[in-house]
Amino acid sequence: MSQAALEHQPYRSTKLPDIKLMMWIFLASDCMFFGSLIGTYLVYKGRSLVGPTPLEILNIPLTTISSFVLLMSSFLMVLALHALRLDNIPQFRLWTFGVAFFGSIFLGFQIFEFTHFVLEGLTLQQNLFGTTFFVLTGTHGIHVTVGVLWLSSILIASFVRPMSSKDAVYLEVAGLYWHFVDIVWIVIFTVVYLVEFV
Amino acid sequence: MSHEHRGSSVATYTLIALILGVITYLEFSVVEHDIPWLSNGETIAALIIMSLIKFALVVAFFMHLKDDERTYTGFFSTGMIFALATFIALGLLFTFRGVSSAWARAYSGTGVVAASEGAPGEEHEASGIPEEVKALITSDGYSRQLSEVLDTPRPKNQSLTSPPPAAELASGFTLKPAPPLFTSATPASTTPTPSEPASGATQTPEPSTTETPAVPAAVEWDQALGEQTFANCVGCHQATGKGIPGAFPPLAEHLPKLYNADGGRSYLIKVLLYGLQGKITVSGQDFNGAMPSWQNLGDEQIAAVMNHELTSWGNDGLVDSFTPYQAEEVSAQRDQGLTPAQVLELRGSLELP
Repeated sequence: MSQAALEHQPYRSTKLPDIKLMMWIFLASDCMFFGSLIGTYLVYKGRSLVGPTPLEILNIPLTTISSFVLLMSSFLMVLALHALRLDNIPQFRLWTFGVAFFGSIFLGFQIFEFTHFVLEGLTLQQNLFGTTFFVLTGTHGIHVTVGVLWLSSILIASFVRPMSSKDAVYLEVAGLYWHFVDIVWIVIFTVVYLVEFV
Repeated sequence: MSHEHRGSSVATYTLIALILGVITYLEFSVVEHDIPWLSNGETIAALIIMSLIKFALVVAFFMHLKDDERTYTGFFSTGMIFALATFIALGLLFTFRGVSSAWARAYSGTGVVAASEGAPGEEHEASGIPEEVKALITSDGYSRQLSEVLDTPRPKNQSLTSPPPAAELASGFTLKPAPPLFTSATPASTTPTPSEPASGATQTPEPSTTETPAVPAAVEWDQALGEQTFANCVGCHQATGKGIPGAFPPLAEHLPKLYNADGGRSYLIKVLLYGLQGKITVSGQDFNGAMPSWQNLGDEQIAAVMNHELTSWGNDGLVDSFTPYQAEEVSAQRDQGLTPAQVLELRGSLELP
């Protein structure tokens, strides 16, 4: 436990900061949420009666780039937390901005992808692939959006009210959420995109 | 646990990020360039292992679970285990249903696919499943593996999803009085031994017994199986049979119109076997969607579900002289290789009121 975090947080019988424990419990529940969505995608995989099919429409190079961007945003996230723990505020702001920026790039890729798919005729109602794909990746996209908004608000708050290493637990919790969104995408990238093209 | 910057340094983070990047590039390469010495199965295994490594690295180092309190790991692992259990249960649930009925279909439709003729591998061929249906059945990995496992022949017409004896009893309880008139759809009477009343009735499905129109007809089929099979339909057509306006057409009050039309009786079977796609108008409302093919349900199930739908939601009062569908009737409509679009054309040729 970081000392700073413990000073700041009320003690419970768990001796852990509530906010962080809550986040882990939320992430555990989110695991089940995404587990069901990915399971649903797989159950209906290859059962669409009409096109477009995944093979016709998914773009591996493009998605590899966006996956890489999201992975690197996770890297910036740990750098931001590290900087805040060292009370290096300029670096903390820089890296936090980087995370939100990279997250936005990922969202940009996704918006491009969705628009492209709809123009190709793949809509939520077109076939089972459309339904399960958009619900799964769309839910993930909403998670990324929430993460970007969250980190942006922390960044803005750091200008309004001075932040120090004592506040690290707040950034750490946002970071946990962000990394989780990243690992969900690691699974989606493999299950939905890569395996399709083997 | 009390040191200020636990666990990892910037150097560690950078190393991890580098490894993550390299693995992502490897994943991309494996998929983009065919690796000659890796089979498809091995490639998939490699991809799954690589993503698990990435997953573990992020959780252990970026989320600090490696050095953090065990409580967090406990909570997160519990969630993961639940997620995995749901994931596996979902897969099995759908796979077993699909495989069992596809299997029942393969061995029921064509009666005497004697094990003596031809190699075991040719049996599917002999049973006459069109290529595209086989592709549909085996199009996901789960089914493929399981259908390989389940290659032991089962008795004709007996699907894994046939109702348990208790359900048979319950459905047959009130209607036992007149068994010889029609073939009952209960598994007992459709065993391979061809009893005279059964074969006689199938050849003459004429509506000559119109003295008491609805009552005996409504009871001479496997209601439990019909209700059970309707579980496949309820998601779109709803328990009320009213469908969803703008998305899925109603069955209530609509099916009788199709049934009463010339050729409508066999058309309804075709819709279930081959699906239907394109724009249709039902009671002044347009629907432009797709009904999937339910070819992998057994003959018994299709007959039973049609009978269920035609006798529910007041439909039984609207059909002219309803005679329950028989499994043989369904089987006779199979293997025509119709496309959902052709079924739509067929619909256009019906004279609907």
